[in-house]
Amino acid sequence: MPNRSSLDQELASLRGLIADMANRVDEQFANAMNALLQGDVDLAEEVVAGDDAVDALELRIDEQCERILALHSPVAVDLRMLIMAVKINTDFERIGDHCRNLSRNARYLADAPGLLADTRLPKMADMSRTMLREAEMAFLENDRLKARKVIARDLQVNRLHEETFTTLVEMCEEGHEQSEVIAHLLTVSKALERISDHAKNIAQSIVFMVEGQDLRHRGLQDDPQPPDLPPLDESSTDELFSEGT
Amino acid sequence: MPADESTDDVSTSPASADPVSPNGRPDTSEASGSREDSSGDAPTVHPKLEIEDLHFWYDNGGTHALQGISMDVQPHRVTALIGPSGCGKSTLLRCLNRMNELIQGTTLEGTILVDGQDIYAEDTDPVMVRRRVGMVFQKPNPFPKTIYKNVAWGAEINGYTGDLDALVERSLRQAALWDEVKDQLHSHATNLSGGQQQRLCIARTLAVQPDVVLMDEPASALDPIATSKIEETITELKEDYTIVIVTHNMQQASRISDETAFLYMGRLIEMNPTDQLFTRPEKDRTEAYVTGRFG
Repeated sequence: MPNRSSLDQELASLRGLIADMANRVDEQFANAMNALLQGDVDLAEEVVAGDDAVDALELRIDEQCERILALHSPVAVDLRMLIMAVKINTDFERIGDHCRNLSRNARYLADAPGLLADTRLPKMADMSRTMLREAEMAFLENDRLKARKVIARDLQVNRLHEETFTTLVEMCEEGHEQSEVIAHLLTVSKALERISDHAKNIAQSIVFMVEGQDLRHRGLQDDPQPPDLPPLDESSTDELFSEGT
Repeated sequence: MPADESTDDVSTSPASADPVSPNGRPDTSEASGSREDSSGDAPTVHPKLEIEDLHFWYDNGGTHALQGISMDVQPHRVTALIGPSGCGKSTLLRCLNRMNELIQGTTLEGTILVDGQDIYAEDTDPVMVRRRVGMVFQKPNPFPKTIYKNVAWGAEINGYTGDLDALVERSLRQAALWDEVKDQLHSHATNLSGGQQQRLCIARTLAVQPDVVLMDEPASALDPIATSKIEETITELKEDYTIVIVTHNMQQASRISDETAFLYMGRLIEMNPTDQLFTRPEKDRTEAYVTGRFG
């Protein structure tokens, strides 16, 4: 029988660390996109440097998970919480890596102001960041409905990535004079698509923690407990980067 | 647990609040080995024990200890009974070989079948029931005799005519004790350590060749090493026997059992494969108990 009050304290501490991780990664994402949109190389370097703190937090969360597993032998919802924590910790850290990689494109995009804003990349960034924020809220509130909305949104980001990819390739084929910049925009598009994938993974882990349902490797149409999701479209995302850029 | 359900009130809710099927059996249709699990092409395995709407009273009806328990125990499986003190798990265990009959003022209703035979039928001999359904108790209770005599005793009084030496050796080997005592079979059993004494009691139970072995917290009085040996022994025994074990140690239940039944206030709340019950329990009350939120 677990020592309930001690375990509760440890789990609360773990949740606090994960919330810190989510906030830190969200901030990295915002700074990375702003650095790209504004051609702000200094801000981009801040993001690159900030990745060390994300990595350090990842190790701390893993240690906390290891400690709880070793000392408390959790079962049922507590065990699922631990499994989820280990998984989403990795997803957040990978998002941090993508933010660092996004920032490394800033100096190349600074030579072509406005080109990024002419693509659908700001909209992709809006959607990806909305997913990340909703995943964080789903975690904080144990909200399986919010988590499923995040999973559903991933399809929209994938579609935008395909559209962006096609557009950028066409620009290259037409002999666009800034083909190197376009190559960097392709990298940005792929990174945003991967960030949304990780946000989806986080949401799936949250559903597992709350319900015990494993939604990986199947579509929401195969969801054994489908909730009534409101229709999602591009306008339902927050305009975090696309407005005024 | 789903977000729209709460476990906060479980310690005060009556056990009867849980949904149960019309026959009193909790909804365990997804549990492997339950009678409802006969769909598909899987071969039908007949339960070793079938318990149907079992009620039990102590104190001339004053204490309703078991309230409509219905469950199946599958052959060659380890089934663990867990639940807080007073939930009825030891009472249920003792019903399975009519041990409760020895207590004054008790009443039993319902049926218990072993291989389809009603063990409480009028023409069923309780001594024969206890031969088929053996029992190992919480504290090791060897007889004040030699190791050999302890194991051979049950077979001897039952008129065993085979090779007694071979029976003693086989029983001690099955109880994982042979290698430790083979050179001192005629030493006094009480010279053994607590863990060895408990394995001797298991050997003594096995020597009368039961089908089912009931164990009532068999390792609760033992140190971790002895406990580990008992658990290994139980895991090996299920190849030849059906085992039902009562334990307060949920980690032990999760380590050694195939199915786990959770009882609360005399009712069966949930019975499911052990891995499911300890990772994704169906009932909030089960989750609250196994995570230590009440009990």
